[in-house]
Amino acid sequence: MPVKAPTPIAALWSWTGFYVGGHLGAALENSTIADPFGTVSFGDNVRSPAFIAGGQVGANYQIGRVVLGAEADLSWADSSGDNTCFGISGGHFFASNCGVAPDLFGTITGRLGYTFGRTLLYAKGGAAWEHNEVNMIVNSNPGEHVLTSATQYGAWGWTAGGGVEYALTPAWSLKLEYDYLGFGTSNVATPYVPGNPLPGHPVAPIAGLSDNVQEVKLGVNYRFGSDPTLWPPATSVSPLIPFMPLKAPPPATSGWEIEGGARYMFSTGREQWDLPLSNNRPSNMLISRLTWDNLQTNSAELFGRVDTPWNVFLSGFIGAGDTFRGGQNDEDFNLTAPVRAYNNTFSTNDGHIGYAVIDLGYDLARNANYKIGPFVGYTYFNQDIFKFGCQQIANSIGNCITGGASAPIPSSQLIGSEDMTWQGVRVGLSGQVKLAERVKLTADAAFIPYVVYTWLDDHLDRDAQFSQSGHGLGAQTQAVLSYDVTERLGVGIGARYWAMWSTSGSVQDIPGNGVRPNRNAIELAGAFVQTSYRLVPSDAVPGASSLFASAPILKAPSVVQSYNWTGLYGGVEGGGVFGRSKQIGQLAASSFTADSTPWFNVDGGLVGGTIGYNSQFYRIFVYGFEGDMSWWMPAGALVRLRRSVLIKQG
Amino acid sequence: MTTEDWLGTARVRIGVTPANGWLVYGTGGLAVADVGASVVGNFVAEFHVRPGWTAGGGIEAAIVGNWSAKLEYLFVGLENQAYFVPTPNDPNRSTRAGGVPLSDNIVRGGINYKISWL
Repeated sequence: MPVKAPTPIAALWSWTGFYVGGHLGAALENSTIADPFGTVSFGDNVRSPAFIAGGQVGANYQIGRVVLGAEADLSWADSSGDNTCFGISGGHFFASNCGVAPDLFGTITGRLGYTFGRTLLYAKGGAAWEHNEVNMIVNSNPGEHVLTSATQYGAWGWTAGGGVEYALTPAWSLKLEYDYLGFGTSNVATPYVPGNPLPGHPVAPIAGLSDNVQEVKLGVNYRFGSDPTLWPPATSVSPLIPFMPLKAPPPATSGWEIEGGARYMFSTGREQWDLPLSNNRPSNMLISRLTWDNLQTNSAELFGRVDTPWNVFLSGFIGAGDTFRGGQNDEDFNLTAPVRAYNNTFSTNDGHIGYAVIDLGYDLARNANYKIGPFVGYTYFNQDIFKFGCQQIANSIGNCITGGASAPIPSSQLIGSEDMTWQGVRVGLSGQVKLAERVKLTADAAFIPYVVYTWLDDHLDRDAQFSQSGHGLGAQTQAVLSYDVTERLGVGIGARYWAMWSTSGSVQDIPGNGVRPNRNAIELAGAFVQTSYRLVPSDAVPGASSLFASAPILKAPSVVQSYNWTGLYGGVEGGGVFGRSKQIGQLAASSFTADSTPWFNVDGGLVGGTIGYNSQFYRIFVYGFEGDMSWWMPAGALVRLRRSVLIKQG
Repeated sequence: MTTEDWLGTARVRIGVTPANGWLVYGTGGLAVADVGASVVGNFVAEFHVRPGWTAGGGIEAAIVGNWSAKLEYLFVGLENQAYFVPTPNDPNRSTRAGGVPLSDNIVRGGINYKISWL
C-alpha cells in the first residue's frame, strides 16, 4: 500500500513583531463654532479638506488568527477651509470669515485584528490629537479697523477606525485604513476682544470650537526582524515568495494585463466662492460668499488600466453626470448699510459635471496577488451650475433683486450660472491586493501639488459676470472592492473623495472695477458600482492573432454548435431621433427677466457606424463594449422651428 | 431652434441569448454630441460639444455567416448648457440663453459584421 504523502499545510502567516511605516491620504475636518452672540440661521461650521502624509509605529502579537496590537501615528496635513461665523446674531452684525486649518493629526491606539491568508482585518481605537490654526476676521469692514483674531492650539480627543492590511513579504505590508477622530470644545478667540472695538456693539467673549476628522490612509509598513531586501519581484512572471504560496503559482503570462469597465456613481458636491471686499483690505475680509451645497449628481464613467511587461501602468477614467439637485446660499456683507448688513439668499441648483483622470505609474511590486506603485497623473473637473429662484433668509427687507424690496423669485426662474474647470497634477500611490479568492481591494491616494482653474460666475439678474482664475492644491482618494464573477468579468463597489482649493486666486468683474484676490474651493464625495472586463493575454504565441485569446475559464458545455457572439465587430446603423429641447433666455437689459421657450421637438435622422467587442460567458450571457458615431440629418419636414420667447420687458 | 450635428456614444452592453443566434441586451454609457442653438430671426447660431449619458436596449440576431442585424432604442440626456455667453449687446434679442437642455429618443437599426480572425 503506497504511503500517502502528507498534504502540506500552509503555515499561518505571522504578524507578530514591531513595525514602522508611512502613509498618505485625504482627510476632512468638520468644525462647529459655538456662537457667543446668539443663534444664526447659517454658518458657524467650517469644512477643512486636507491632504495628509505621515508615519506610524506599532507592534503586533498574534494568538491563532487573532492579532493584538498597539499603534501610534502622526500625520502632517495641508488643509484649507473657511465659512461664515456669527452671521447676524441677536440682531447685530458680527458676520466674520472664520478659517480653520489643521496641520497635524495623531493617534495612539490599540488594534484588534483577524487574519486569514495574508490579509489582516482590524479595528482600532484610542486617543487622538490634533493641531488647529483658527483665523477670524470681521467681514466687509470698510472703516479704519481691521478686526481679526488668531488662535493656535493642540487638542486631545478620541478615535475609532478600521482597516485592512496585506502582507507582501514577511517584512513589507500594505494597508488601507479609515479613522474617525472626535474632539471636544476648545476655546478660540473672536475678533471682538477688548482693543478691537466695534462701535455700538458689545465686546464679545471667547468662542468654543469642536470638531471631528475623517481620514483615509493608504500606507506601507516594514516589520523588523525580516529581510527588507526580500522585496517582491517587480515582475508578474513568477510569484516567488517561497514561504507561503497561496495556491499553485499562476501560469506565466505575457506581462500584459488590460482591464476596462463602466461605473455608475452617485455623488454630492460642494463649491465655494469667497469674494473679498477690496484690494486694500485683507484678502480674507469678504463682501460676498457663495456656497453651493449638496449638489446631487448621477454620473456614468468608463475606466481602464493597462499593465505592461515592464511594470509601467497606465490607468484612468472619464465620466459625465447630471446634477439634479442642490442648494445655493449667496451671502453679502455690507456693514455700511446697517439694515441689510447681512444678506443671505437661497436658490436651488441643477447642472452637470464632467471629469477625468489619467495616471502613469510604475509597480514596485507586482504579481498575481498584488500590485503597488507610485504614479503621476492629470485630473480634470468641470462643473456647470444653474441657479433658480431666490429667497431671502437673513433679513426681512429682501434683496433678491438689486435695488429694492421684492417678493421671492420663484424657483422656476433662472437667475444665473457657474461654469468652472479645474485641471491638476496628481502624485500618489496605487495599490491592489487580492484579499481572498476572487476578492480584490484597489485603492489610490493622490496629492495635487498644483491645480489651475477658471470659474465664470454669471449673475443674470444684474447682467454682471465675475471671471475667476488661479491655482491651488488638492487631494484625491478612491477605493474599490471588487469580486471576480469569472476570471475576466468583475463587479465592484467603491467610493471616492476629491477636494481642491485655491491658494492664489483672482477675480475680475465684467464690466467692473479691476482685479481682486479671490478664493475658490470644491469638494466631491461619491459612491459607485462598477462592472469590469479583464484581458490577460497569454505568453507570446506565434501568430499575432492569438494576442488577446486567453483561454476561457469556464468551458462551455459541449452542445450543438451555436452562434458565438465573442469577437470584435463593426457595423453601420441608422434610424430616427425624436428629441425634446427648450431654450432658457435672458435679456441684456438690466431689468430682471429670465424667460424660457416651451419644450419643443427636435426630430431628425441619424446615420453612422459602430465598433465593438463582445464576449460570451456562462454560455448564454454576452458582455461587451460598443462605441458609435452618427451624423444628424435634419429632415426639413421633421424639424419644427419655434421662435424663442425672448421679449424685452420694461 | 435646437439642432444636433453629430452624436457619439461609448457604452457597455450586457445581454442574454435566449435562443441560438439571438441576443437581447441592455446598454448604457457616455454620450457626446455637438449641439447647436439659434434664435430664429436673428441668424445667430452657436454649437457646443456637450457630454451626456445614454441608456437603452435592443435585440440583435445572427443572419448569415458573421453578419447580424440589430434594432435598438437609446435615450440620450444632454443636460442644460448655456449658450451665447457673452454676446454683443443687441437689445432686441437674447444676449444669453440661460440654458439649452436636450434629450433624444433614438430608434435605429444596424448591421454588424463580426471579424472572426480577432
